[in-house]
Amino acid sequence: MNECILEGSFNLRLLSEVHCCVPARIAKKYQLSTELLLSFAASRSDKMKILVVEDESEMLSSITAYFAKAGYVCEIAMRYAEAEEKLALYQYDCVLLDITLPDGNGLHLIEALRNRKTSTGVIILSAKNSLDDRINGLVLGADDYLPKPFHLSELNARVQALMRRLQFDGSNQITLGNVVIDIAARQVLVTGSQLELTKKEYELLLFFISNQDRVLSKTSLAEHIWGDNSDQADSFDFLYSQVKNLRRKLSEAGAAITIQAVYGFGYKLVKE
Amino acid sequence: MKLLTITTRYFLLLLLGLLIPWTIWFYGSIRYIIYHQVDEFLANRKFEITRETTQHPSLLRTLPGYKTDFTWQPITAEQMRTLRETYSDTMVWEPLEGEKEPYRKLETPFESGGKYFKLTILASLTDTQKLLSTLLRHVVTLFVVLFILLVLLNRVILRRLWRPFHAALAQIRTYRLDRHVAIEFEQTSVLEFGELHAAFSQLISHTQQAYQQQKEFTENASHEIQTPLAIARNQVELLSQDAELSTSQAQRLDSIEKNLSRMARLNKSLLLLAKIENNQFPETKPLELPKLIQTVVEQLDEMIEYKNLRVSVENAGEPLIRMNPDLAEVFFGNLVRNAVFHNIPGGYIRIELDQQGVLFENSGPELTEVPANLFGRFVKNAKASSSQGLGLSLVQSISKLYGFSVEYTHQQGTHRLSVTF
Repeated sequence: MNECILEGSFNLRLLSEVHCCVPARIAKKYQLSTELLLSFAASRSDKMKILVVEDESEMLSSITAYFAKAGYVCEIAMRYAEAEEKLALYQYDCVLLDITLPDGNGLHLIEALRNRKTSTGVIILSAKNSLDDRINGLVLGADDYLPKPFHLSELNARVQALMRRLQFDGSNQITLGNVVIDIAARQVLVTGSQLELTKKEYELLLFFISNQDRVLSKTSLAEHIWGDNSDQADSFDFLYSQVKNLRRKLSEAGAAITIQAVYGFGYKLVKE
Repeated sequence: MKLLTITTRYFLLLLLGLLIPWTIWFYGSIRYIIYHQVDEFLANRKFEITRETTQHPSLLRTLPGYKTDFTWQPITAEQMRTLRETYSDTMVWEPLEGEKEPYRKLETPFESGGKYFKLTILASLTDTQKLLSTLLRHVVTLFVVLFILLVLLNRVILRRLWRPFHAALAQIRTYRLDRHVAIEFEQTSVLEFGELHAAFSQLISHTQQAYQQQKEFTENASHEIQTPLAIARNQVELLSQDAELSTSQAQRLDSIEKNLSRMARLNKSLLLLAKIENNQFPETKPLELPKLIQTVVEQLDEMIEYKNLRVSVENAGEPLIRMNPDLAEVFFGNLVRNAVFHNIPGGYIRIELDQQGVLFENSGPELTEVPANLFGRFVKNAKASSSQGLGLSLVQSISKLYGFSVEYTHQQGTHRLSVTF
């Protein structure tokens, strides 16, 4: 099926009707790529289902494009009413929620969701970054809050962390080749033996693993580990030295993963 | 001066200005009437005496010269010509009372049996004086009572009348725009106060509206700028995943990405500055400074280690001040960051805490910037080119908000920044 889509004989309308993921008119209206719809189509219920609630169509398309590529099933809602309806009808693993919607306050959606006692994770995406919204959102039952403008890689890492928390009760492991990361113990094991990492090196590795096979820009890496401090001149030098140390430690331990430098732009974690 | 005091003062001045001349006039006219009557009585006596003695000159020999209200004594013809009839006040010794008493005296020349005499008639003024002084006393008593009443009127009645005004004043004084508590003025039957209340209510609602709009503008500006920034950033991220990208294209993307980040941070800082200046951080908590400094330093641990800096914190007392926790974090975070990032490899940071303030001392490169400009917006050290230049400006705004004073000095690679609470 994938091949036939790639060849261009893909019927957008038929596909969306069969899989009920993205209505054809929405797909057309917001120019969702075939590539994106392909991943919708390919996805079944064993994949993570995410609802993206966002009124900016460009924002929406870049988020869905990124997540679809990472193998999630993405559904979209551009209006409060639409999101409300979808949340009532379907079960999602995670909702990415822009709380400033043209026809309602997204915070009420969290309330409604929590009243139904679902285990759906909620990450608020807000352009406001106001403290009130953050606190209200978390009090109402949101799991995380990410102010715009964010990096998609950061959002992806947050979604994965949230999914791990929700599905494994916090005691869980990520295995990648011969590398095992014990999230609860904050430990990294390479072929069974512990790898000594500093706090920042560990955070970097986890961020890389959450976004494996993707190019991560230096800015997004610096922002991930430094937050507000990433604006300082030293932070890129520091990042460079941290990545260098991490690469050295991984290769010395014989890990089956490597961090590649991508031009001058950033880094990418690949499995050997 | 209180309006009440001023009005009372004017009333009293007016009363004094009116009552003093009136009292003088009143006293004068009563006195005049009484004297007039006494003088008339004296004139009658004179008429009777002169009539009797003219008809019976022998009387002047038989009449006793004492215990009567009149006396006479012979005068020369020369004196007779010059003596005029005069009324005057005099004091006469009263043996019974043992003191001098006031009398009205009429002295007049008269002729009896070809001889000339000076007749002196006396009329007691004791009763008259008593009457006058009683009258005066009563008038003064009336005035004093009037004064007291007036003051009481001002103090009690006017105070009661002005109560709605003072109540409104107290409400407005405690009113804070950022607390969203509406003002309810009490009902008043006084037209002027009613108008004042209405005007205040209108002013408050207009101000509230303007404040709200400004707040919304700040938030809207944030929203409007953050969303396109987010889209641009995400597009760059998606584009960077393209395996076909050439090195030069990747470098261009890198530059775009860095500048987008810089814009995002600038926007964030500008918003924070605007919010601080609009006083949008009203709630405060007691500041736990040693703990906060420790947290901030710990967040920068790896960087401190990377730059091989020695950090020492000397804790000589904790300040007892209240601050908004978020602003406190921004404030001290920026100061510590400043000391870390504008430092030289292998340098040092010394933080001294006491009850009155904090001192940050650190090694660092020589500054090219004039210290006075250091707290301005967009001032940065040429060497740290990617720095946003708003960090110390934020520090300045926050210290202004809480009334701290921040002083900066530098001397041959030693930078000292002291904050006094």
